[in-house]
Amino acid sequence: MNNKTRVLLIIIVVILLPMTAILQKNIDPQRAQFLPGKKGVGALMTNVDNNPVVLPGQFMIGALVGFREVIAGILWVKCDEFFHNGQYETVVPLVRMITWLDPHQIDVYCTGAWHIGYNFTDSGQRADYRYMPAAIALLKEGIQNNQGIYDPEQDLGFNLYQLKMYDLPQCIYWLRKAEAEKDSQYSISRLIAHALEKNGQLDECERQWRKCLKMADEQLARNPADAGARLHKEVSQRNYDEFLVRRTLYADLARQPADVHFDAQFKKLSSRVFQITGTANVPDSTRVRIEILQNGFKLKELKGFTWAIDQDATYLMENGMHGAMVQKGKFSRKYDLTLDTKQYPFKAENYTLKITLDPVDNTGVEARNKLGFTGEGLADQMYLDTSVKGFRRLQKVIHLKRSDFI
Amino acid sequence: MTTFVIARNTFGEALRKRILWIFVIMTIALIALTVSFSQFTFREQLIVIRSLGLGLIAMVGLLIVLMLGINLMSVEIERRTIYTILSKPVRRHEFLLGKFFGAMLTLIVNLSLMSLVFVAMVTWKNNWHLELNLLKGTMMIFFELLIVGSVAMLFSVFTTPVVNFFLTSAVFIVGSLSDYTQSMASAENQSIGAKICYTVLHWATPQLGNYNIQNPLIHPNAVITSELRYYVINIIQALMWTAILLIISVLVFEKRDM
Repeated sequence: MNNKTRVLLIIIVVILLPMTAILQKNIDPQRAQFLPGKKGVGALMTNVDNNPVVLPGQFMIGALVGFREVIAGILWVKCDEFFHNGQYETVVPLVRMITWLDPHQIDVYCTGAWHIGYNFTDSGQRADYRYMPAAIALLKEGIQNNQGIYDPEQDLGFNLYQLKMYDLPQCIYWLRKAEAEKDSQYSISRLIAHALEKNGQLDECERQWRKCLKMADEQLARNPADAGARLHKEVSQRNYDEFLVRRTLYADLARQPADVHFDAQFKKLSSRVFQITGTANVPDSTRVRIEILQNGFKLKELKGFTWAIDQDATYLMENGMHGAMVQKGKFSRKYDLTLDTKQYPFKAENYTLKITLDPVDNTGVEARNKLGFTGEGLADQMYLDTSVKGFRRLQKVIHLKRSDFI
Repeated sequence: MTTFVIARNTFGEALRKRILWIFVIMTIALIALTVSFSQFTFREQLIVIRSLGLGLIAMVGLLIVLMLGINLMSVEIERRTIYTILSKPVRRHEFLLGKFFGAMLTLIVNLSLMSLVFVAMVTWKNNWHLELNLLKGTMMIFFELLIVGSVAMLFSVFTTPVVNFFLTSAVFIVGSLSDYTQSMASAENQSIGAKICYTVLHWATPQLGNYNIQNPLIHPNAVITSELRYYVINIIQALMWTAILLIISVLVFEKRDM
């Protein structure tokens, strides 16, 4: 090869190299749609302590050469083993890994969010609410990656927004989305009706029950042997009838709201051990919500899934069926947080204790018959709170110092 | 013409290597067995079958390219047949290109066989709904391996087979991580040093990750816009990388003392 040809070839290489880069510039923006997840890869692979998580060698090689979905399937089988051993903190990083390998594994998103929302608990089985935004973000990612499928939307609306956050408008919003999806289940339509009732949207609730009945009738007209539609009709009819009775009864409550003489006290027993007691003239089994919040801390919606929570924050929440139970006009709950220094570090100086009697937390018939749909039966000279539009609830707020806990 | 003759001989020689056929037969058997792996998924058996099939084809294709690529030149040098050939009116670049094209022809034949079986299996499992879309996946695997083959060819002109194996594998791994290197290079929480490192890795190695298009093939509901444009640009880029690597191989080979 003569020098002239050699120089020519070198020039060709010098020209081609930047051209590959120019082409890559065109490829990169389009590349995202060929990736399994809509989020950028590599940014999310951390465990609860925010340390990087990497796949074991054999799985990494498998994933590299293209067995992503197979590896995801094997890891999911492994997760089940960890789950049955109670190793939840191992399960969740694996869940993150699986959803990264195969973002179309809807069950993994749903189960992962459930683990985060329900199984990260203290020694008293109280959920760590600081992780709740992470659970919500994980499910939202699942929804984004699996458009048109009702499961993650139902789980987000019911399991997280309703049963954990008691955020009924968000619950209704996501359940409505789930209801609109193809292959949606009858039960989702009924859940919406219950949520509307809880949220005091009574006319809409009535419309929803009628919609449920119409839905069942239409299906039964198409297929009279459809057992699911028959059951849906029976359950909806019963619930609708009961709702109409309640609506009539509770209208009377609003005319004569009763003073329930609500009150609550906080008492420190020893370091990290304290007791909350109180009175409320309401039926037995009525639940009272207890919330201890470090001043200045707020659960924030996450833009994307991350474990990076504020580990120094203290937030204790017991609501819904986990709230303190009233028995013979009194309620009491003792807290021993000596083993839970990680979940409740009590590093800040000031805290707010909120003790709330809220109809939203109560689904029992007897409690509801006293409180009404939105607290229309509630009155109290001292603690009536009407700051949430359309709701009447009783709330006592106690300001505490770090020394009150430690 | 000389290049063509050498390519044909290389192809014939490759076909005589039983180990290649063992690879292909094993892969075809494994693709057929993918049906039994479908229990790993709860809802969509076809997802696992498609994933496993494409993964197997990519993996075996890589092994074939590595085996052929690292031995192409070294065997000729070891057996000293190269001296006989080069003493005839055969120029060095013709010899090198002939070897490369012969290897790639072998790869095409093997990939085609595996793809046919794969498409047939998926079609059978999908109630005889023909899934020719999957051939896009194997086409892109071919162009990815074309680059890997050129890398192996480049290293084969100046290193031993063992060193070549590790160097080519390293390029393959880094290149396959091009989606990660791009993501990490643009991540907000990275240090400047790490960003520079990832940026260099992303631009200096062939972006083999581009050729992994399994997601839309495995999950047909994924929406892809300007699909044809994507394939065309990537194929042009693969040909450019191949040209660059082969030119460098020729330049190095021409200067090598024999």
